[in-house]
Amino acid sequence: MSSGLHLPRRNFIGIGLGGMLAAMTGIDLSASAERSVGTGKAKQVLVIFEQGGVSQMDTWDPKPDAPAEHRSPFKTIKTKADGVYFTELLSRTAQVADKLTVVRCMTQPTPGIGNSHPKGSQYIFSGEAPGGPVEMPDIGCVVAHRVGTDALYLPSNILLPGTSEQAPTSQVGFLPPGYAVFKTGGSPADPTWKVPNLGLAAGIDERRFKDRRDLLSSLDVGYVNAGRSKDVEAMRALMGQAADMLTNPLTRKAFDLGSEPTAVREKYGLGHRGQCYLLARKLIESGVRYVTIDAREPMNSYRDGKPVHYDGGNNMNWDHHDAIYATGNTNIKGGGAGAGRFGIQTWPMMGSTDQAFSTLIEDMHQRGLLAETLVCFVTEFGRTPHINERQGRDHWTHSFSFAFAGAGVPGGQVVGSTDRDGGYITSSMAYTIEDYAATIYEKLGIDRTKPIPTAAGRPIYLASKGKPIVELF
Amino acid sequence: MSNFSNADRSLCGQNRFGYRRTWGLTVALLFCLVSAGSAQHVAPPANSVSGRIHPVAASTLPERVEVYPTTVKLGSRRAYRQFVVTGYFHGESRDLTPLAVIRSTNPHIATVSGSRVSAVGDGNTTLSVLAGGRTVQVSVVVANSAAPDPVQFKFETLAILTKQGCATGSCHGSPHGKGGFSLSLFGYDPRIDSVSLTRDGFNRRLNVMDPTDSLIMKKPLLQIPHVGGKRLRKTDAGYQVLRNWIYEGAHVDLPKTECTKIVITPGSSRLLHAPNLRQQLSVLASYSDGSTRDVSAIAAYESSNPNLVKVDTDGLITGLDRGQAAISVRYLDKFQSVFVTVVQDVPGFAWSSPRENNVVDKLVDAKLRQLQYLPSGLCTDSVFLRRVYLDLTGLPPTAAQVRAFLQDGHTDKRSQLIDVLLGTEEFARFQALKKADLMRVSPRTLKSGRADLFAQWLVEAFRKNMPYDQFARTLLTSSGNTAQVAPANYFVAIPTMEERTEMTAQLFMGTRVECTKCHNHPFENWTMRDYYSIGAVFARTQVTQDGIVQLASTGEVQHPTTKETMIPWGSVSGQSTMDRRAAFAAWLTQPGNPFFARVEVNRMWADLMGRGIVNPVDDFRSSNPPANVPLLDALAQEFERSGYDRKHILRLLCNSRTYQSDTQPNKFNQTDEALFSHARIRMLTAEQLKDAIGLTTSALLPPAQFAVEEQKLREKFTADGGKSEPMKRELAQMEGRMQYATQRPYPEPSAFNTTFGQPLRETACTCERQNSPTLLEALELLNGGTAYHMAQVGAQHYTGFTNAALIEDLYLSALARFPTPKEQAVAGQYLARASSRENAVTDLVWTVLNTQEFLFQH
Repeated sequence: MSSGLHLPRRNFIGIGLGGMLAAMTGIDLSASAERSVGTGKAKQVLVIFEQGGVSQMDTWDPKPDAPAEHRSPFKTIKTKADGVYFTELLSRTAQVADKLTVVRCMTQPTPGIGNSHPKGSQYIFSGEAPGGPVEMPDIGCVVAHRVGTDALYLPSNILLPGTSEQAPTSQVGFLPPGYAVFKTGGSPADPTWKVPNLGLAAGIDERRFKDRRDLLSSLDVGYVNAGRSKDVEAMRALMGQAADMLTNPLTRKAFDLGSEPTAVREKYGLGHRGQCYLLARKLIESGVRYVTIDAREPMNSYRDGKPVHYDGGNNMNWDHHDAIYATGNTNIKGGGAGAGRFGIQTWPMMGSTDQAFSTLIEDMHQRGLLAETLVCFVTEFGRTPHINERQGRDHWTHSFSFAFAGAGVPGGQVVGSTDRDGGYITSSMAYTIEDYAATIYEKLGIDRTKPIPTAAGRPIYLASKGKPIVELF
Repeated sequence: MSNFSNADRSLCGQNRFGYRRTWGLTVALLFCLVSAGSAQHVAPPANSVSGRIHPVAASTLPERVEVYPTTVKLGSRRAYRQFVVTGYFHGESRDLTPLAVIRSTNPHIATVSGSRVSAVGDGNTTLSVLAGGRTVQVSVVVANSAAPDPVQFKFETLAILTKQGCATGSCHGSPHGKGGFSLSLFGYDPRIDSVSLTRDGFNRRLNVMDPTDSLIMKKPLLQIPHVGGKRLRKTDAGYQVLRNWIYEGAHVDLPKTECTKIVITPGSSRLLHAPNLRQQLSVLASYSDGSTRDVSAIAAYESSNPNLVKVDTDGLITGLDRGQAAISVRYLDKFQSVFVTVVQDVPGFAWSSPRENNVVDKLVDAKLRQLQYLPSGLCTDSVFLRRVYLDLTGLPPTAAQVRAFLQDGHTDKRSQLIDVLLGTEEFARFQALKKADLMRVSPRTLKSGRADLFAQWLVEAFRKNMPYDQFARTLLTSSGNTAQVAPANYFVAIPTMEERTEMTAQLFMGTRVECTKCHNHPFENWTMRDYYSIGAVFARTQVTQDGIVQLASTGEVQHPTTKETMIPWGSVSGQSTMDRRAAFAAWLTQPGNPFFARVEVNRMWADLMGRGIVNPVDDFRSSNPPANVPLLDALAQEFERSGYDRKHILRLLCNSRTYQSDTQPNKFNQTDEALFSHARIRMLTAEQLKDAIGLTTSALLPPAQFAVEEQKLREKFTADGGKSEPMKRELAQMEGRMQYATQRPYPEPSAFNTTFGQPLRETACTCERQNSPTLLEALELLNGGTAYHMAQVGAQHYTGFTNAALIEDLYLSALARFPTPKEQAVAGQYLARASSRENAVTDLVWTVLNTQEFLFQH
């Protein structure tokens, strides 16, 4: 095992002493016996959460031998990796399959717990089944808490861009609120988009802000005892950090998609999803510890750089209960859960996803970012092997697929297998969302044998019911 | 146990605070202590514990020696007793156990090893205990020494699994166990443990043919790898217990007998005065069949603060540094604590006899003097003014109020101001806000105007200073239509038995019982029985679809593991036709209740002093002792004596020197965090900050002016015929003080408020309110809309002011003090130099809002 001290590879970021200490102390190599697979190989994590329950047999786990009435209409295709097959919906991703491990034996061990979108999303965010005695904080919050950040002028745990649905499902839980995820909101594809609160307020230019700060530093000396209070000292330091975030050119640069060459922006796709994926790459490049993409198309979105309106409103996730193979809008009148959602093969769904994801992997590979970034493509559950009477597929927690890349994850690998219909796992191994969480912690070198105490003193172990997915190490 | 009467309950509770009785004595004795001048030196050699302890003059012979136990009965082959020998030196107790020489007259009947006596053969004999120059005789009776004495799984093996750490929450006692081996937490469910030990794990855990080949021996001995590390040594008492238990067949019999109590000698509190810093404990367990057993060797010991006081596996306590800690003793589901105070002399310390304003200072000072801290001096009038305004009303004083107070020459102006503030509408509303935080008053849970109704009731209760016992009884026993009966909404906000149990216990008993829903409490003698017994109080309280709270004639709560039907807490039996809630409320609010008065005075104390005497305020347990027991007891008694008059207690606290002390520490109290030797610096709460920004920038009308405006509107409304809907709405808003966050019983969960830690009102825990600085708060202050826009409003307000007057008014309203000449100069230059005065004034207002002095209360 190599030294725990990973020197920063992107030194233009200007990692401060604090970051160095965090890097050193966060990766604890005093491994105990239980940490058999932990490598600490990942320094950053990028989670792509495609919410709603992506159909496994239409994407990562093709089932050409399923009975015709339930079979996916999409052809099984070869990929760049020998013996690895996807469906044609992932034809671009097939070209980067040599950099991916696809895990086809994901399952929710207790049926029912995470079989709704809010609970399933919480399960994915926190890595633990909802409804326990203590609700687990998001994995990203725990990582920010345990490892800290190298990029002090940026939040350490960012959600891109997120929707209104995360409010109850993403949580900082018993951790201090400072570790809550920073949600950007909006659509990066919108040319006028800016991250709220990370740029100076309108009417305050940098010069005036500096004047104010100067005035503050000359007036904020009146209270002599303040130095004796930890909270006062903490607030002083945090204000310094906040001021840096507001004015540091690197902060702006990290979010500035305009600085990317047009060719790169186009390659990701000039729509909502593509630009979210590109922004995620930029944030990883800037040193953000934990980035989550939740990029379902908003009602008012972009396609090929032009505004586009989706009548389905906020229904543009993967919850294809109805007309999963519609070639456009599912065209269900009168509202209902899936009104106006688009079929899986359409551009706003798998079309943009295939393009953005394949570009992301290739781009990160070329920039050397895959070496120390764990990339996870996840969804809360799969879909039924049978097509229902509304030509849709319902929720299915018995088996679904995740894909991983980077941070030592082997390329061109498939882990696990399912039966002829894609409904049940046939391989000897099966992995849970808890195992997924354990994998992230182990990849980051976080010691899971060290509990975090709640306010009431209860020791909380990280992914205590999970074991790392060994094939990813 | 089935007939657990009211008296038993209260007695049981008293035990948790039993140290109260001996404690006063200890303090008194301490004051009697004079340095022993005599030279005769027979005291124990100085304990070689810590260089931090400064030795004092040694002692003479004790005037009295006490030996425990006074007689010994050993009823089985393996029986033993742990001795505790105490000497009294000028009234101060000192442990002589390690130095006592104990001899058995007949080693064929009883032998002595160290300070423990064990059975050898049947018969009578005596022991001679030589200590402190005296000899005490102790008679010994040994019986049944020839009969088999197998290890008892339920009473010994399980105790050892806890003592060695196997069954703790961080090891095999966690909900999922560890490494595939799962035990119940601290052995609360012996059935789980018996299966886990004898049947799971492919039967490898126990090897009856070769006990030392069992996994449960080899792993903790670290003969094979064990993630939990070395947990057992061959010299441990636990080694013999485990090995013998397996050797004898690893029987997992679960007899009906239960452990009923444990008694710790030397009692519930102990003072260790350097250099005499050791104390041996002896623990005797009693059982439901009338038998007793010395469990000193198999009980588990833990210190609440190992940096101050440590304890070894045999129950030998050692004081390490000046301060206080609780030593907890656990045996099976029984849990008791000994409160240890370590006193050492601080070089150069001399008590300065500071002025005592009232009993609060007297008792705070007694503790400070005992531990040799000096209190800080009084704070300035400015600091006091801002502090007491924020604490009692939630709002800072206005510039005019500051000027008036600072100019007031009366010597009793502080206490007059306290009386004035306690009588304000703002006081009642701010108190209601704090209680509403804990009672989940929110339109999310209390729909169709019920949140308003309940909130108004709370405000009214504090406005008329409703006696707090009446307040609690009304809340806990209300029934009827919740659209009309405001306090009955207590039950609507917490609809389930679990929520009612947990909230009621936390709110009125200061106790976090939620752990005991699924297992016995890890740090306290609270058990699942207690939890479901409180639950049974509310089993028949129903809320109908139409929002009617009514009592059903049936409905019971069963213990989830034993399945027994629980007797409601406070009731004599489950058969009574009386409202179970009334019985509970009667128990709760009866004078002398160990929780009720203490919890509320402690909450008031924490609100004013920034930290509870018991801290956190809703975590009363014997392993989390009060920082100052006599103080808490005296306040609780005063609260009861006054008829549960909250204002009386608040007045007492606010008038104390302790409350009015400076935040500046001195050489002799700078390390003190918990004994109230100086005031604490606290960040304003979300609501206080919002309102302080509003008032400083004049975006909000000051309360007095607000009341005038309200009156004007009311007159206009009446003159208008009292029909105008918009005016009616506006009036309702003004009446509800909707503009002030601190004056609304449920302030809106705005981005500003939630950023600064406003609680979601999902639990009854004060910990839900986050009060530590965060990055988002810093961003909001530097760049957020609230400070930004309000600074602009402030600039408009100051349009007609001269620079000097502006700066003076700004400082008075923001910081309750005049600006210093330097501040006048710096701010004046900034304004004078600026190209746009409005921008410059905005900048200045913004700047003052961002000073630490503004953000914090001092």
